[in-house]
Amino acid sequence: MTSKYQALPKGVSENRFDAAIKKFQAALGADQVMTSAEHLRPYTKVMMSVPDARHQPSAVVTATSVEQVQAVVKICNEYKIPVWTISTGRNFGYGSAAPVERGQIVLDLKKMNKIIHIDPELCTALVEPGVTYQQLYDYIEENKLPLMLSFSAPSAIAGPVGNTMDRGVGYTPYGEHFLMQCGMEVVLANGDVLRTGMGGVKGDKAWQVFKWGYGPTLDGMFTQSNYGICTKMGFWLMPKPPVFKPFEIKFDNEADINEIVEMLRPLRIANIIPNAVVIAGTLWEAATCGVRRSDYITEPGATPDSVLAQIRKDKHLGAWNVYCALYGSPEQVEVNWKIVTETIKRAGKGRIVTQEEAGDTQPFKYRAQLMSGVPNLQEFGLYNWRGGGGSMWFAPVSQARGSECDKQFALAKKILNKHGLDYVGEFIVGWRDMHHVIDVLYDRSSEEETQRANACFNELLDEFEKEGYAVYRVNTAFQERVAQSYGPVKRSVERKIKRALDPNGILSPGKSGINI
Amino acid sequence: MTSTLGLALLALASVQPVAAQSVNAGQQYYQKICAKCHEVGTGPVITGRGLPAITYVSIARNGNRAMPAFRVTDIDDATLQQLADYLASTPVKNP
Repeated sequence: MTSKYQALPKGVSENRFDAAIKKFQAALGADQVMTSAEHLRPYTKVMMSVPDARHQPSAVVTATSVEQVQAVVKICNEYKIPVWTISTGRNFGYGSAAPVERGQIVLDLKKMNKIIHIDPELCTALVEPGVTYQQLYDYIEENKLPLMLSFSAPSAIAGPVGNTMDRGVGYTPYGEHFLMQCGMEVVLANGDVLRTGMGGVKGDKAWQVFKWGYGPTLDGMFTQSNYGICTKMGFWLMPKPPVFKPFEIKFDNEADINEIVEMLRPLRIANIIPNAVVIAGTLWEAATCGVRRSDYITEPGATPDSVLAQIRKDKHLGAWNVYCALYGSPEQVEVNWKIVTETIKRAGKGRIVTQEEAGDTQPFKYRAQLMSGVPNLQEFGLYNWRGGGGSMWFAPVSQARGSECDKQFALAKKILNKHGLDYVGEFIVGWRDMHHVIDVLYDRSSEEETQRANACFNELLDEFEKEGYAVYRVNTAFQERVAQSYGPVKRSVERKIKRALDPNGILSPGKSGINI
Repeated sequence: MTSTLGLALLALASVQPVAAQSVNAGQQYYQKICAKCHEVGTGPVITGRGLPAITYVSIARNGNRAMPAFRVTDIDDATLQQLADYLASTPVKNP
């Protein structure tokens, strides 16, 4: 079966697709509709342990206005074309820019990139989907606004809408991005434009300042889902504090994780340390300061503990490396610094490294930048640890309790090592929760290693599930699998909502395992 | 690559004024985005390699192992060509 297209949407004939493409061209302009192999190729670059072909789009359409997005869903309904929406499309390790199912068309909103409004007094922003954090950073710098961003490590090329729609996180006190989101505009499958919160009130001025509005609050329903296409999003920005004091605490032994978490939790819950702290393992640290596995060992398989010990010694890294920061007036920072240092002194372990001591060295520098909203891409060093373009995030949720983190770490390391892969992980510390983020890194240019990574990812999900753990977010190849972890009732409700809002099932069918 | 274009971009540019004088959109993209990996040791050094422009265009569009792909919505063909021409013209360093 040959087709002039790279793929066809599920259940759509070539003739019907031809007709739909003509409609898209008429509505958007020919240059906003792409079907050639050359144009589609960048959308097929994935890091997952499955063949590229499974996530091959049939076409890409771009839109620059709400009206164009409405036109796209109208045509999709008419021809039953499934459409996968991306904003900046930098969802590395979670599926990148490729659709969840082969043959879906990609709606790329990267060029819909207006910073609509930034309010330096109320400290809010309203942006379109294609806006990147770098673009916002430049805007804030050029206009000398007393504001600070929060973002994920791919900062410079990622953006707030896409990241928040997948409920991603950052590293400042505003690191829980969905928590700080306020006001959303979505185009529904029937073409209606819905504004959440205060956004529906005629003459309203409070869209970006009061989250809930009246009646059911729906923003959460549109994140990690396929009930609408987000075309505008508001969020809160942190005022830039007079003093920013980043610091690191190094711990020597893997077994220290229990005490580290017990020590940090009261400081986090009481907001003495206000930011999304990270507790990074040795190999995460090593990779982000430029160490490659091949510098130490060329045999395949899991990296032996003796090599980890050597890397720690050579690069002056801890088994766990904790990055935190203090923010505020000089007096506030001084008081909290005293509390932090005394807590560590009492614990009898952990070496503090200040910014003055670390100087310009990595990985301290990039951590300090992430904790103060300065974009960089230093963390992409992770992808060089083994190289070859294979990476999937396995990110189980945990209580911020030492014994739980210890248990998850041991379980993950055992399973990864069994499949010849390494524990490259960090805990991102919330007030009460942990995003235990593990980078399942493998050489995707090796078919054999890719298969091992796939088996490993499946086993991680299975074994963690047996212990009552599930992930907060996952790549497109495993979204159906992870939906199963959360039980049939939840899925049934999700499906009923889907059928009510999108009876033709045109919006990203398969996202988070949701279909009509 | 005309000076008019250079001046127009200068007004929009947020790069350092000293560098902006002769910087076109392609070079600006390099400084703003590519350099964050390729000038810090994450990606290989790509200036002064003596490679033809088409190589840069191809790798940017396809991605290459650890390196992500860049879509036409990230960087349009004309800007990518400027970027590639710039990289291809950077002087080869003596070993």
